[in-house]
Amino acid sequence: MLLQQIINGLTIGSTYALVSIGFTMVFGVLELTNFANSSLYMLGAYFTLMLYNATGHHFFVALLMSIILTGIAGYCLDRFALRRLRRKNAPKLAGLITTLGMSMIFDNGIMLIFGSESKSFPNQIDLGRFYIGNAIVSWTQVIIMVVAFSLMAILSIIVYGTKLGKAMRSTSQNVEAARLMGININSVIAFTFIISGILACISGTMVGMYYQTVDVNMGTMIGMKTFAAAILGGVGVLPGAVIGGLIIGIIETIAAGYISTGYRDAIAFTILIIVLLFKPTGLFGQKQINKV
Amino acid sequence: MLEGFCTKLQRHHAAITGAVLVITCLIPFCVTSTYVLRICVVAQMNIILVLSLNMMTGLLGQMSFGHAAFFGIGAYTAAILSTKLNMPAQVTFPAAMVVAGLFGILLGLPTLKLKGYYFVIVTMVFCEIMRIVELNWMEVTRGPLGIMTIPKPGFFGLRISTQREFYFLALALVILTVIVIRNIMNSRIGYAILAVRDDEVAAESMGINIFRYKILVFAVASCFAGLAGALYAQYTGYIDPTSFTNNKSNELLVMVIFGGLGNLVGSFIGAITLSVIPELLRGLATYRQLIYGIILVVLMMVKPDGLLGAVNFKYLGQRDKLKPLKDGGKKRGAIWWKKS
Amino acid sequence: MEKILKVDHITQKFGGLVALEDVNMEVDSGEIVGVIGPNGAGKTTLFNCITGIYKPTEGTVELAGKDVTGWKPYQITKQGFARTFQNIRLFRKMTVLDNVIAGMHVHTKSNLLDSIFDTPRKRREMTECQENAEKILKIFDLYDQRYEMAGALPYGKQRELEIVRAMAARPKLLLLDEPAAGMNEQETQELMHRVGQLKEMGYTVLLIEHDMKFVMNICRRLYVLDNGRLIGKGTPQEVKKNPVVVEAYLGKDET
Repeated sequence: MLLQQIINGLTIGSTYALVSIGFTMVFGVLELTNFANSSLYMLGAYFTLMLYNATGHHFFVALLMSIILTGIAGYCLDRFALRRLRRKNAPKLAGLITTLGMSMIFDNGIMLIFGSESKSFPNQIDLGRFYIGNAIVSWTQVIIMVVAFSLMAILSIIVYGTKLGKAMRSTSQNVEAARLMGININSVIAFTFIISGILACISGTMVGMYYQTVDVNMGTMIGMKTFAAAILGGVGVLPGAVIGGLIIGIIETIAAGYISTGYRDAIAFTILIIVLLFKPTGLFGQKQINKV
Repeated sequence: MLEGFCTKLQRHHAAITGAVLVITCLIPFCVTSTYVLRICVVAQMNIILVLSLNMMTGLLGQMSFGHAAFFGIGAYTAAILSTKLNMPAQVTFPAAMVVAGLFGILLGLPTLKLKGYYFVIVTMVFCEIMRIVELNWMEVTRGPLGIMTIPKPGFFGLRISTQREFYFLALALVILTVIVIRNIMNSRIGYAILAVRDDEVAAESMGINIFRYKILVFAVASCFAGLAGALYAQYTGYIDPTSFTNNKSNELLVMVIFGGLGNLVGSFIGAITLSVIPELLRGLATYRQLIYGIILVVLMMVKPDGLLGAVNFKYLGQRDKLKPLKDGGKKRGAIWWKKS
Repeated sequence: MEKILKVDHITQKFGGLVALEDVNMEVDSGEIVGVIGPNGAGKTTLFNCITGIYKPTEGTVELAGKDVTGWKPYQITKQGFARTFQNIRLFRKMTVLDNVIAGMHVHTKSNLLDSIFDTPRKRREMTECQENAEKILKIFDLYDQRYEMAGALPYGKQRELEIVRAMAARPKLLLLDEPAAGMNEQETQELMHRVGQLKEMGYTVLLIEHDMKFVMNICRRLYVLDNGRLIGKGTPQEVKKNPVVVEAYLGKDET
């Protein structure tokens, strides 16, 4: 029973981790709480569904196009709203409010087009299931975890091993210095948004497959989960986001299994608040020295 | 231009406030449509919420994305006390304030020490926790069924039941809110709050206990959200968890930002405009959230401070009083009676 | 002579980095004392230790005989320290007058209930604050700008306002962190005049400064920091002649 919960928790947690990485990357580079991140997740799932039907049920074609479209949506979010604010040197708050506005536009735009009722989502890669002890594991779960963890691996190679990653890391430490060193800040930021869009899209599609249903509110809920995951791990820390996501996923499935289904999210969030009580910067966050 | 206009407003602020008050009092006697009066009451309730959220967000500078949680706590407190224990309104309304305020303190204690963006997320998450509790704690909140037939409020035997009576009750509560917030802001506490907003490190080294004032403001803001909740519960007679979601929190935040962070007059404008417009455009009701989103994005591009965010009426008035020294007092409208 | 400040064997470490090592320092009532040293010598760190922004790793800070080590900054201000900052930290969206009134926080008493009910006590207090604030602003020639936004003042005036705001707390010891930084010749002259005024008014001042001329003219005693260590102290003349100091600081900086 416990094993089963943990496996389910890891599955759902790894999708949280994916979205959370996108969120935390944007935060790291811009120090911006991106509320629209979760809308991209919902958008990605809907794009996949729409294209799946439009392309005559070619799942992988649909997924690929959906990834591209969501990436573009992420890019647009930055290009047409946030970059203007940066140019005007607007306060950080303005950026946060803008992403909130964009997320309201995305969510309600999709709702107006597709309606608020949930849509059934095809599980294209249903390969059955197997047992580990008493626990049932479906191949879908395995695929989700494999995809999630390989993406995380690829990302850490990009962030910690490539020139682009170096540019991202230096931008997140000091924008001005990075600019002076000849790094094109705008393209680094645009790239970060595209990545977060892509991750959100893949995650949204996989969750759609897993539950075989999507609805407009799926973004709102995961939005809070990813925020929670990111701050649990320490905002701006990539491994923190991954572990935070997994922990939130496991807590919520265990809470649902042993305590109450209705309260499972509340329990996960309450644990988050309790953790912040003892570790205000999150599990892996660094304490900063106040510069005066 | 805006500044000039606002200076003129400030010059005649006593007259304008008086006129607005008189007109507000006359509305329920001129308008008989229950529908219009209902919109007015809802707008007034939103004013209370927006004013208190503005105190938190605009004056103290702590973004809160969970104001609806306290609104909900107040509503449920009043609803439960009045349905289960038959408490009169002089108990339910203050109780709603106290309970909401206590929750504010409870949430503030561990979280207000955190950095700004942590607090933003925690408030948001708290709103969701409260919604889940309201949805699942069947014995107390009746979950998704909501609490029905909440009695109309009665203060010391004085029953409030018609739309007109509710209108004046709401008006009285709005005035109470304004007076309390204004008085706080005009005291040493108010100066400390503004100092914390402008620079926490400097404020602390001027002897201001930042944490204490943050908790205090959070508690006061939550209190008034609770008050609005009590009004809402006993006015509509029915509450369920869907009224207290993050959507409501965001809606309130849009109103605050639209009117201008830190400007109380702006909060009135924001709350009234954004409560009334969706009703005027009823055909567009489904687009409400979308319109809010567009307003936010456009506003941030054009006027990141909101309509009146960059305006400080107190300072405009002070500066205006210095002017006659320069132009010989010719253009001063406010001292026309001293002409001789 | 009453000892206002006594810094006793202060050491401040950040991880492996030792920012201050075994620093001792004393300031008597009515004195103007300077702390000098090259960039990165630990001067501001010392200020931050004294005013409670950092908690020193070792050692104690005493204010007028009271041990205030490890106290929170606001408690320390209440006890009688007030400071300015190297990179000006005003309440930018408040007026000049309101900045000063906010600075009086530690001397006002009205509580939340007084505020809400607008009691006579609160009104009296606010009027007093305003009058006192206007008085200090007049002394410092900031009165005409009292309704300007603090953030809109010219640079030199902002520095002065920060000093006025600190004075408003009526501190036993005023700590000025590089008050002349970024000022032109004329502004520096004016500032020197201001600090002279402070002395006449009976304030005790500890100031960090880069501008040697400024310190030499105004301070009675100097402490010299280098690499987190105290390498010299005494009157400006003595310090000028001290070979260690000359080598560490004057030798490189003031040829």
